[in-house]
Formats: sequence, structure tokens, C-alpha cells
Amino acid sequence: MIPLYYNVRSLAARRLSTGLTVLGLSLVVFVFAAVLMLSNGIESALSAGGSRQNVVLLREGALTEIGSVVPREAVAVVGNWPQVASSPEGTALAAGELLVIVALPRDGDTFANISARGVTEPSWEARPAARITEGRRPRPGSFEIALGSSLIGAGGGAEVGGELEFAGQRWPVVGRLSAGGGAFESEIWADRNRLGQAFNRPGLTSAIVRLTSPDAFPELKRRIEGDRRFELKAMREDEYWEEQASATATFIRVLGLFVAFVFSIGAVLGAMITMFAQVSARIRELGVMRAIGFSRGTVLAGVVIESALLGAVGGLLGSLGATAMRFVKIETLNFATFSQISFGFAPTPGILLAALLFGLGMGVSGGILPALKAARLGILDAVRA
Amino acid sequence: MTLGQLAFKDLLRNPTRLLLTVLATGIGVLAFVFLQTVISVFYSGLAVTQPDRLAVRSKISITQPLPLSYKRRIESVPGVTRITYAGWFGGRMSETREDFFPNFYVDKATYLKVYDEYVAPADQLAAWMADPCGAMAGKSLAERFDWQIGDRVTLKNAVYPGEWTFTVRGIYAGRTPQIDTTLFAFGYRCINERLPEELRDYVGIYTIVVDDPARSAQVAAQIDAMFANSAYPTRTESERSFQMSFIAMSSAILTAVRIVAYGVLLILLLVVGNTLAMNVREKTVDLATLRALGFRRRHVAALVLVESLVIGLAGAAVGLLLAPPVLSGFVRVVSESFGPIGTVVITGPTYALALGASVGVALLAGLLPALRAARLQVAEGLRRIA
Amino acid sequence: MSEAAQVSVAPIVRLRDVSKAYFRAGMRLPVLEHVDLEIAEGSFIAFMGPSGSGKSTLLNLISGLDRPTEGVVEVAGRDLGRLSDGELAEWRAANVGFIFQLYNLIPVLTAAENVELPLLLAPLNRAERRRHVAAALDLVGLSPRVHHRPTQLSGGEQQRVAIARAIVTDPRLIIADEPTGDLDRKGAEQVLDMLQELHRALRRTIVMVTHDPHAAERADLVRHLEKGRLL
Repeated sequence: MIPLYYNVRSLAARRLSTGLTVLGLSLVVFVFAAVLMLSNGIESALSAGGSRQNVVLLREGALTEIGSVVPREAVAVVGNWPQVASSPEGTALAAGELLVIVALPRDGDTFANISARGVTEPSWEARPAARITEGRRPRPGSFEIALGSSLIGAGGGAEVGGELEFAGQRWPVVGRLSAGGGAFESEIWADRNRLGQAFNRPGLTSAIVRLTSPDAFPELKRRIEGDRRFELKAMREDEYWEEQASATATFIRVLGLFVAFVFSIGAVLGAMITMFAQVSARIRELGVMRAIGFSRGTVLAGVVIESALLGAVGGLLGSLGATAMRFVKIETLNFATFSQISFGFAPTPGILLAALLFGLGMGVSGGILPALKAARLGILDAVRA
Repeated sequence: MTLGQLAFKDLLRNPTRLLLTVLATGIGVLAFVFLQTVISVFYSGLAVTQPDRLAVRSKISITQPLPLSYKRRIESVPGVTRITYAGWFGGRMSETREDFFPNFYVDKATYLKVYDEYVAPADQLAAWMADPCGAMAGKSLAERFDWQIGDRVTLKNAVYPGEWTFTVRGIYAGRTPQIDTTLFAFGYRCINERLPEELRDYVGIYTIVVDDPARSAQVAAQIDAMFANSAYPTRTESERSFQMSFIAMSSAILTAVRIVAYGVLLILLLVVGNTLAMNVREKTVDLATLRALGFRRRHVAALVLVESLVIGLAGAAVGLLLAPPVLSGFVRVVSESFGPIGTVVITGPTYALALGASVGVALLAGLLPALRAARLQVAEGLRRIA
Repeated sequence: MSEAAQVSVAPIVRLRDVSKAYFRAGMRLPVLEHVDLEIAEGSFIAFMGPSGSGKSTLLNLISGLDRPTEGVVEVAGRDLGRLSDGELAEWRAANVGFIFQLYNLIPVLTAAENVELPLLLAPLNRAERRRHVAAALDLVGLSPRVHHRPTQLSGGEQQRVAIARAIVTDPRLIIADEPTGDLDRKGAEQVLDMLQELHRALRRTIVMVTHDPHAAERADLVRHLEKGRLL
């Protein structure tokens, strides 16, 4: 086997070319890893809000709360079922909710579409993950609102103690809503009846139901979907939120991975250029090695290893760069709900491993043809070159 | 032989490397065109906006409707010459995302007078007008589901309860390739009559045409003032800024796509720069010989720049040839798995931008190697053994 | 033209108190020290000396490839130190023909194209260039091999192509740096015959550096260099 330091030194001897190639490879790995982290970030941002013990009720055929209508009687009926948990005070944890989209002015002339959720007491009880981390809960029946933590500081009174204006009303912000990074952190929570009044929407868009245990879901689902009066469907809350994220996340993933794939072809060609140059610059050296007694296979392996080394360093740099994106927060439109969501890049060990392997793979693919060329050299021709 | 021929012969020193570099450049150009086209799809709504059209929507939220009664009142505002309304119906043939398509209700009598970019044969237009529940489908939508005139389409919807059946009466095309032909439009009357009391007589958005685009701000202010204190305040803006507000919501994604597109150019710069730097290093002796023979610094620099120019042009040619088939393949794969993604065409400006970027990047990549070739110390260069 | 009048009486090469030193890591490394030299037009002079004696540097100074640290180099009536880099290149193209130890032919060009290279800088049309190239290749006896690439030629043939390239512009001065250093006996003899022929028949001034005594014998004058000084 040719020792590794030989490869390292021969790469170091052509610093510029090696550096440019590694940089190119690492940019490709960066895009690859960043895309995976981003779609993972969107999914975890949205699904973190959902509990497995909760059920979302929507009208049959609706994919989102915005496009759904739920009759009030249905909520009252479901509240009496034994599968539904109750608060310590004995109230059933089944709450009808109203979700509307609010246009809030963002910097300058633009508007952000923010989801505003009309809630009642059991909405809070049913979602232990949704906590007030500053200030207090809005008083029932008032115009007070709690603002999702990712909206705090967006300007225009978006802070605890401030006031927002929409739908012809002033809404004092009395609390900061945190929900473990979930979608609720991009929402406004207000009193359901007040919100309905302001928007001329007396109905409900959805209902949230807390089960006595996650295992009670199939039974509840069977009962509600079997009830022909309501035409409702039941979804586990965590699955509902995952579903909400999937369009945006898939868009980013498909686009990003396609681009990363196209890029990688370019970067493999780049690695190939460098390795061909390495081989032709060292023809004499390789010939001497063969003359000393190294086999064709060893020479081939040596070149591939050298190229893999380029890929590995590129992979390392690229994934480090992508990991640094952890500190960047992004806001964008969720295609499913037409409202703003906020999320970040979420690295996982799996993504980092995949990125490293991706880099390594590019290096190896770029090295194969040059390695074959090196291995095919006749000893005498090479020494004489 | 001439100086130009000398430069071209010089290109063939390392055909493998030249080929690989041109291919890599072509791939980069391909990726660049692809990303630019993705961006232009987002902006395609803007391409068809007209300066004399204004959108009137609810100030409260895009999902909040406006009363049908506003039509008369808006019409009466001086400067408004035409008005129509439309709304998002959001019906689905099934719950799967795959067979989703955008569907709207419109005011049939006025819609095509305002939106004259959609065109359909006169007999189909008349049939559409005559049937209250007749629908007009875009050409690419009709192709996607293989709809013929007379076919029935049944949609379900959670907000407007029940099943809604429409008959395809016409298939429209766009005046230009950028026009969206994936839409499905039917008359408002068809659904309004069947709606429950509280949903009846509300529409999504009004579009007006003003007689003088220079006065649009004034007209908009007048309309908004008229409804400011009602339960349904309005926000009137040019069609362009209305579209922009949707694009602005995706600005983070667009920014990311743009950054990646420029990342492609950066990778190109590295690959081409690497090749040119290697070429200059490997032919140092030859360049020094040329200099000794009396060639000027600019001559040897030009040799390097001609090489980068050729790489840039050839790379652009490869990339631009590959782009249309790759893009349409991508669109096919994507729309099979999650719905249509609008009308995707590579525009002239995108081609021009890609060509310019490819040549520009290649020349930029050649700059340092060219400088190095020009700065070469002749006596030292000659001593170097090839 | 007083300058032109001067040329006819003055030697073609005149070095006055020329020194050349390199500076590496703040150290002054002298290569040539206080060299005074005159070469008469039409002579064939050979410089000999061990490696590191400064003979290549001397050749570079005479041919305008390098500049002295001190002193004046006058060649063909021009003070080379006063010429800008561009003027120097133009001067070389018009006045100097080069022959190198390793021939320095451009590998992607044919023999004829290599010979044509210096003519690209002269105001000649295509037909005139072709005529000059044919004449030069004929002179070195390579007419049948004009369309061969350097790799298809023997060492001696390559050096003859290089000689053709050196004389194609009809320069006043031919510079030969170890022209036989990489050739076998037969090739070397051919090349030396040719240089001698150029000198005798065409009265070209030839300045040659060599460490081969057989080659030096062919010159009319041999000067020795040692440790940067002319002996």
C-alpha cells in the first residue's frame, strides 16, 4: 500500500489546484447539507406543535383548518364521549377553534399573512406544550391576545405590552406564546368569540380534542367519521402538522436535491480535472513506483484514495459550513396554509453523515478515470516520459 | 497561421481537460438556467400584470371576502372603466395533492373584458356564457386530465358544502407563453345560488381597469376611503404590487434560490480557474519562449483569455442545449408527484443572462492566470523544465 | 540618422561594467561582476565556463531577456536599459534569433508553424510569411518535414527547426544557449555545421554558450567565465 502521507504531500505540492477543487466540492456539499437541514427544519418546526394525544377535527375533504368548517354541535357531542380527557375542574378538553389569516404590516409597504387562532379555555388545557413564557394568558372574552414568540419583535407593537391593529380592532398583546419551536409560535392566539366578531365569522373552522390516552384515537376516529350528521374527519394533531409542512418541505427538498445533484456532476468533473493533472504531472514518479514493485492495483488505489481525500475534506468543510447555518432563521410562506412560518436549519447526525459520504462519493467518482489511466501506464513509457 | 489560429491550436494541448472543463461549465450553466427559471416562475404573475389594472381586496386578510354589493359602488368611482370579480373556490376532485388544480369562480359577463390575455374560440366562449355551471379550463390543465369539451368535472369543497359539478364548455389559451393555462374558471352564479344564507353574495377580489394609469393611486385611495369605516374595509393596489405581495411572502425561498444560483457561478469560477491556472503552469516554458521571440505581455495574456472565452462560450452552448429537456423532465417528474407548478418556460432574458454569466465567469477565472502569464519572468521561465 | 552612422563603426554588443546579482532572503548573490565586453559584428563567439559561472545570465543580458543590476548593455546600437518592456520585446523580435538547449518548440504546432511564429509579429502578409518559412526550412534541410509536430521529429531535427525559427526574421544577432547540450554526436555536428555556415555565408553574429569543447572549437573566439568574471 502506498502510504497516505505520500498522497497528502502530493496534494499539498499543488496547493492552488487542490484548494480550488476542495472549495468547489465543499460548496456542493454545503448546498446538499443545507437543503436537507432546511426541509428538516420546516418539518420539525411545524410538527413540534402537535401532540400525539390530541385530535384535530376538520370537515371531511378539508386539508387545512383554513379550508374547513366544523359545526358547534359536533364539538358539544364529542365532548361527552368517554375517549375525551377532562381538566381537573371537570371540563371536557374539546374546543372549537376559528383560524383566520390576518394581514399585518411588515417593514414598509409589505404585509405578512399571520394565522390568528380563536381559542377558548380548553384549547390551552389541551395543549400543555403551548406555554406563556412572558406576561400572561389573554382573559377570556377580551380583545387581549398572546403573540407567538417568533412574531415578537416584528415591529409595529409586536411585543408584550404592545398593541396590534387588525380587522378594525385594537388587540393588546399580553403574553408571549412558546410551543417548543412549533407552528403555534408563528400564530396569534385570541378569544374565539371576539375574533369571530371582528371577522364576521360566527362559525368554527376546526376543533381540538385531548384524548384520555393516545390509544383512544382509533375509537374516536371511528365514532366521529361514522356520524353522518357532521361529515367530519379526525386526524392526530402531530400528523396534521406534519402534513401541513410536507408541501413546503418537499418543494425545498426536491428542488435542492436536484440542484445538488446537478452541481455534483460539475464538481466531479472538477475533481477529475485535478486528478488527471496530478497523474500526468507524476507519470515518471508512478513509473518508478511500478518499477520498484508496486502493483497496478496499488497505483490505482493510490490515485483513488488521493481523490477521496479531496472529497472528504470538501465534505467536511461543506457540512461544517452548513452547520453554521443553524444560526440563521428564515421566514417564508407555508404553501398549505398561505400564512407565514418561521424555521431554521436543523442539522442531524444523519444529515451530516450523508453530507460527508456525498463529498467522499464525489471525490471517489472523480478519481476513478484518472486512476485507471495511471494504472494502465506501461512502466517503461512512464519512466522514460 | 495567424495569432488567432495560434490561440486555437493552443487549446488542443490537453483535449481531455478542455472537454471536462467545458462539460463542467455546461452543467453549471444548466443549473444556473434551472434556478433562474424557478425564480422566474415565481415572478411569472408579474410578467402579465398591466399598469391600468388594480386589485381591490379585503384589508383584513386575503382570505376575507368582500360583499357583492361593492361592485356597483366601486364602478361609480370616477376613472374606473371596467370591473370584474373573482374568488378562490378551492375545490378538489379527491383528497390527494396530485390531482389538485387551481379553481376560481368569476363574473363571466365581465371577466374576459378585464383579463384579455386569456383567449378562447368564439363558439366555446358563447357556450360558456350560456351555461351557468359551464367551466373554462386552461389548455395545459385540459391536457393534464385529458378533458374534452362537454366533459363533467365534480369538485368537493369543505367551505362550500356538497358536491359541485361543472361542464367544460371551453378551453382557453394564453396570448403569450407566460400566461398561466392551468386554471379552471366557472360562473359565480352557479355556486352563489346554492350557498347557505351567510355565505351568499360575498366575493374574493375585485379587479378594476382605470382609464389613466397615472391616476391609479388617486382612484385606489378613493375606493379605500369609501369603505374604510365599513365592516369590510378594502385595500386597493396596482395588480403589480398585489402580485408582489405574494412574491414577498416567499422572498426567503427566492433569496435562497438566488444565493444558490450565484453559488453555481462561484463553483464554475473555481473549476475554470483551476483549469486555466494548470494550463498556464504547464506551458510556462512555451510562454517564456514566445516572450523571448518578441511576443508582448498582452499577446500571452490574450492566449489565456481566448482559452477562457472558448470555455465560456462552449460551456454556455452545452448548458443551454441541455436546459430545455432537463427542465421539462424535471417539471414532469415534479408535477406527477405533487401537482402542477404553473407554466414553466425558459425566457429569452434567462438565456441571455446565462450566456453572459458563463462568458463573464470564464473570463473572470482567466484573469489571474492571464496576469500570471503576462507577469512571467522570461529568463526564469525559460529555465523551468517542462 | 546619427545613430545609424554610429552602428556601422561600433561593435554590435558592448557591455560596460555590468554586474548582475540576485537577492534572496536579503542576501546579495552576485552572478556577474564588473563585466566589460565588446563583440564585433559578424563574429562567432563562444562562452565557456562551469555551471554557475554566469554564462547563461550573460546571454540573457545580451539578448534583452534580463536587465543588469548595474552597468550598461548596448546591443545593435540600443541601450537596452532605456527600453521599456514592450520596446524590448519589439527589439528582440526584430534583432535577435534564439536557439535553446531544449529547442523550446511549441508542441501543438507543426515545424512550419513553429518557424512562422516570430513572423506573426512582423508586418508581413500570409504569402510573404509562407515564403520566408519555406526558405528558412530549406536552409536547415527540413523541407520534407514541414508538417510534422515536434514529437514526431528527432532531437537533431527539432534543433534544426529551432535554427530555422531563429533565422527566419533575418536578425542581426543569433543567441545559442547550449545548442548541442541535448543532442547526440551526429546531431550536434549537424547543428554546429549549420551555425558555422550561417556565420560564414551570411555574416551573422552568433553568441553561443556551451560547455562542450568541440562546440566551442567551431567559434572564432572563445571566452571563459568563472565565478561571474570574464577571464
